[in-house]
Amino acid sequence: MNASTSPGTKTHARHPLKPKKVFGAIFENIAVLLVVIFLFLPIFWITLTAFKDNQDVYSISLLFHATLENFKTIFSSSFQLGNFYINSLIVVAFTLLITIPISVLASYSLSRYIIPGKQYIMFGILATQFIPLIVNVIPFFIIFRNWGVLDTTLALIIVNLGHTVPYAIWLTKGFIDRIPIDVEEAALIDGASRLRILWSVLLPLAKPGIITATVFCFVITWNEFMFALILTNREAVTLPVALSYFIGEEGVQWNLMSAAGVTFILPAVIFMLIVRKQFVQGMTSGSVK
Amino acid sequence: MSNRAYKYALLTPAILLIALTTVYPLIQSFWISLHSWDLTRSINIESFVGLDNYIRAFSDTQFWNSVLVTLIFTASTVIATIVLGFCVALLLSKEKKHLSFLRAILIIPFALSPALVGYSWRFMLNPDYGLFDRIIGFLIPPLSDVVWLGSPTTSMIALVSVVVWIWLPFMSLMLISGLMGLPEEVFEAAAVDGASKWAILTKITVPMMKPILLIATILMTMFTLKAFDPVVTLTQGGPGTSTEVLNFLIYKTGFRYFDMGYSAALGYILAIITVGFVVFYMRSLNKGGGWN
Repeated sequence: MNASTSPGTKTHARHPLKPKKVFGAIFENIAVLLVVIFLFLPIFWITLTAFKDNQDVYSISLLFHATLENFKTIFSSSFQLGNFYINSLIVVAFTLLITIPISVLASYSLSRYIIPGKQYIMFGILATQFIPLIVNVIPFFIIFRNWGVLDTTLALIIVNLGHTVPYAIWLTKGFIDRIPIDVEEAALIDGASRLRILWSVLLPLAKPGIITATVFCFVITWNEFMFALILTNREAVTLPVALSYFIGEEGVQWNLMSAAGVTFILPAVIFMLIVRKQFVQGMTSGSVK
Repeated sequence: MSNRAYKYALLTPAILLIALTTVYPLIQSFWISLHSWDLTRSINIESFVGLDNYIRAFSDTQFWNSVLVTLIFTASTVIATIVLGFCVALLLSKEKKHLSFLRAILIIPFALSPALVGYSWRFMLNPDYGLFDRIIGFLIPPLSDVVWLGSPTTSMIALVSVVVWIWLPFMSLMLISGLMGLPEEVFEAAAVDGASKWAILTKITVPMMKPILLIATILMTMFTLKAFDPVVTLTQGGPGTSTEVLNFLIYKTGFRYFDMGYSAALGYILAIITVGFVVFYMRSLNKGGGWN
């Protein structure tokens, strides 16, 4: 993704500016600007709205008296966003703690060993994600009700694992495939055990891939909405579902919802920005070789 | 531990986990789909009816409406995202500083929760105080009186736009990294031969990008068929049933009408449709030799 390291772009040697070229360049810049407006205006607008009071919310003027009141309100006892935040954090933390080690071990095995029917295993792992997840919600609902764990974070952790593990395996396998096998062989000749090699030779090299997988799984789990909507109703409600609490009988409290939205997306956006380079590489290497 | 035991020991936990969290419920779900079961009447699975639920779907107008809605929604979303994504990728894949910065922040929208995005667009499309409603009305005056979420067609346009909005950055990034990986020499040779920009695009760039475009299409079709959060938060399937995609109908049947058997059967029908699509695309991909 890095501009300086990527080869194949098509800039031509500079010629004296011809009218046609100038026109083309202007057109191009306008197009880029439109893309930016389309993609970032909504984010900008929600962020602004989060700082507006009840009156300014309905005006589209950029001049308004900014306030932090909304943020205080959403964390107060009447909305208790803190509780939902904690629920979300618990679900994400445990899902990742289970997903990442299990997936890394599996992708190491799939990357380095001859396993009969490996192609089918890889395809089968991905194929589970073709299935619309709504089909699985019904049996989960029944199973969890029988176990008495409906409306608990445990239920959400279990269902999330079903889609984080396959993605994480695909992502990390793509990375491990690209690590030269010689490094491990050298360590093996030096008499290191397999586990030792995995831990101290391979893991550091595979770190970018593992980080990518972690962030990706973080984002899908953090934003997971359907399971949370159906399997929780009071105790274990997570942030995306809690957004609907700002829709009341007398309408939607957009400024409060925006404030909640901003605090909700902030961690995901920050993580995403930190690992964006590896992330895009990882996402494409998983599907394209 | 022998090598043989070792490789399976590493793999087993993951396979076991996937089996328990995906395959097992899937089998359960199929079993439920063969029963008539009203959850409000009984908390235990009720009478076995064989394939009745599947047969019922074929004479259910709501189901057919939903199939049609899903087709329109999926086709428009996938086409719009891939075409726009390719245009954006062509625009942003040049070696310029500001473009490199744009590529870097393009990932931000992808991190946003689709549920929040749905609500946000509902806010911005509000006919009284919505920002986008005002902008659209300003740019194209005849559209200033449109209540976007108020009529079937405009509501579908809004829903498609939102899902395109969600996936466009990611698809663009995928296509950008594809474009930037194409060999430079081919383009230089074509430029030396005096090929026009259009000829280069259609005769070289698009054919070379075909495998990546196909994978992007497969992924996008899967994502769109699964779209749920934007439907719930933006349109609730309405007005009427005009944006009621299959995914939402399954949810409504199961968790609003508590008709579990029928809901599970509809789920299976959607699964079959999805798998059908994927297999179809994979075949065309295999012809190009792009899959692994």
